Amino acid sequence: MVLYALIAGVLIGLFYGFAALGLSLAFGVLRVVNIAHGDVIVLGSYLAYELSTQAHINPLFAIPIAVPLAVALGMAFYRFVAPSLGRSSDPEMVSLILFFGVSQVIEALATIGFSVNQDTLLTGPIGNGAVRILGQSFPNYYPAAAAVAVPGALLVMFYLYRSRLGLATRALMSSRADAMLSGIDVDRTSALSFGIALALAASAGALSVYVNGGVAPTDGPGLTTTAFAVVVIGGLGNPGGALVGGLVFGLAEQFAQSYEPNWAGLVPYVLLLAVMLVKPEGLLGRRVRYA
Amino acid sequence: MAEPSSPAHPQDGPPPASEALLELRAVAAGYGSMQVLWDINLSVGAGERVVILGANGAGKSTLLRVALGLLPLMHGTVWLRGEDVSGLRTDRRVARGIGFMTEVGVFPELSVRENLLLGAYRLGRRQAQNNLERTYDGFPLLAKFRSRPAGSLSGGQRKLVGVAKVLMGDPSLIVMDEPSSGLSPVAVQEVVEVLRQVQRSEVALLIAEQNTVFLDLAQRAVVIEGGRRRFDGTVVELRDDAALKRAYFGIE
Repeated sequence: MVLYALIAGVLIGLFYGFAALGLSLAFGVLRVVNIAHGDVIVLGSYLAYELSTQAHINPLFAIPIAVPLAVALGMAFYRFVAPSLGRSSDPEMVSLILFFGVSQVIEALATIGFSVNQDTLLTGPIGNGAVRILGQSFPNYYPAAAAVAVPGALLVMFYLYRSRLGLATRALMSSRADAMLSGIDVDRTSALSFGIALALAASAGALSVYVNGGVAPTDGPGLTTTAFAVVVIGGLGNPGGALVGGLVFGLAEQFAQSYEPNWAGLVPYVLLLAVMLVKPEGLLGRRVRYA
Repeated sequence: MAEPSSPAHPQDGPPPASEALLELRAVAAGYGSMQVLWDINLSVGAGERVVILGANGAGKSTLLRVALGLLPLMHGTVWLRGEDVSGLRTDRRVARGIGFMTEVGVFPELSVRENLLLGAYRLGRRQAQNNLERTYDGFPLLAKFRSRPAGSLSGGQRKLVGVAKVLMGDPSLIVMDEPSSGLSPVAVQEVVEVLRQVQRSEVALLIAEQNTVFLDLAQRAVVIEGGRRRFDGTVVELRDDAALKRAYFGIE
């Protein structure tokens, strides 16, 4: 049982990290928690669901379709709201309310489009068989989720830590004013980061339809909560921290599920509180950024 | 570089005959409804080295923020090489050849190398790489610390990274906000020594400071008091002004 929980925890944890990565990125550039993050995951799930049930295409094809769409939408949305946020005397509060509104709109639209009931995909991402890893049997979406999450997260890390634009992004996460003073077009860089953040959420949606046992229009806030916990455990505003947070969250949840299933929903959040008490900046958070 | 002491509407006039690198004309600015600067005129010519002297809260930093477009103007105009940039975004102003060193000087989370590369962000990848080699040759200490987060260095070393970062961008004007802040007297002297190397080049300097040590680097001084320009002249003239001497050099 230990081995099962360990493997499942790592596989699902990697996915949690990937699903939360966009929230961390959006926080880094906007300095505000995107409450609609979970709702974008829901939209990705519906795209996967429709592809599978209507077009009879593998639901994972939702990812290549969703990524350019989400990047374009995210960039347009940022360009649309950034000027009014800039004029506001309290941009953080305004964007918090704004994202709350967006979350509600997506939920309402999803209810109109797909009805309030939960939709479940009966075919798995790679057939319906179980997968055996080290003698343990797992539903095949466990390794599939990790197989999408790992290269996806690596791609984002490569962008952030190996590209010129990624360096500019990290500079602006450190200090927006200083980034401008280094000659960085912070609006364009922020817009792109926000687009990537939404693309990550939508991509995660193609798998969360399995990991969460289906998709319903009201799933958004719950998914945002999970992603928020993951990001805070790892260290808010540190993209690498999201992955560590995801692993911690996934392992805690899977171990709880194996030994005390009734407590599975509680354990990760108790852990979140414990991390906050012992290391308020998160596991990979650095105090220096607030100094 | 003499200029009229208090022109009525200088922003309505023609561009200056001698093209200043940076020129502020009748600038007023502040935060919200609180005005901090009144009728500031200031110009920095090519290769000129100017220190803005003033106490804490006199409006030095505000003046620099307005010049770079981080703070909107209430009144007046800002010019770069004869071009009115009053409506131009900060990064576009920087792209016209201004290197700005903040009080912190660096991005503390990023490595020394990354900080330096950001200094040359506007120049593109190849030029940045060339300038990086040049910087490592000029400051061997930075080559040694290239992979360390800039925030882990000492205050003096951080300022060194800050100066090198700004030089990476091949600017024609370097603007510095309180380079002495948070430094020990010894470290301040080290920063001044580094800036002496800059002094030998053709780069213009505009330094906002309350520490008079930096006057050694400058030809001209501008004194700001209570958000207004109190003095604009050569450093020699400043040292000859009895009242200012008392205020900024202590009673001797």
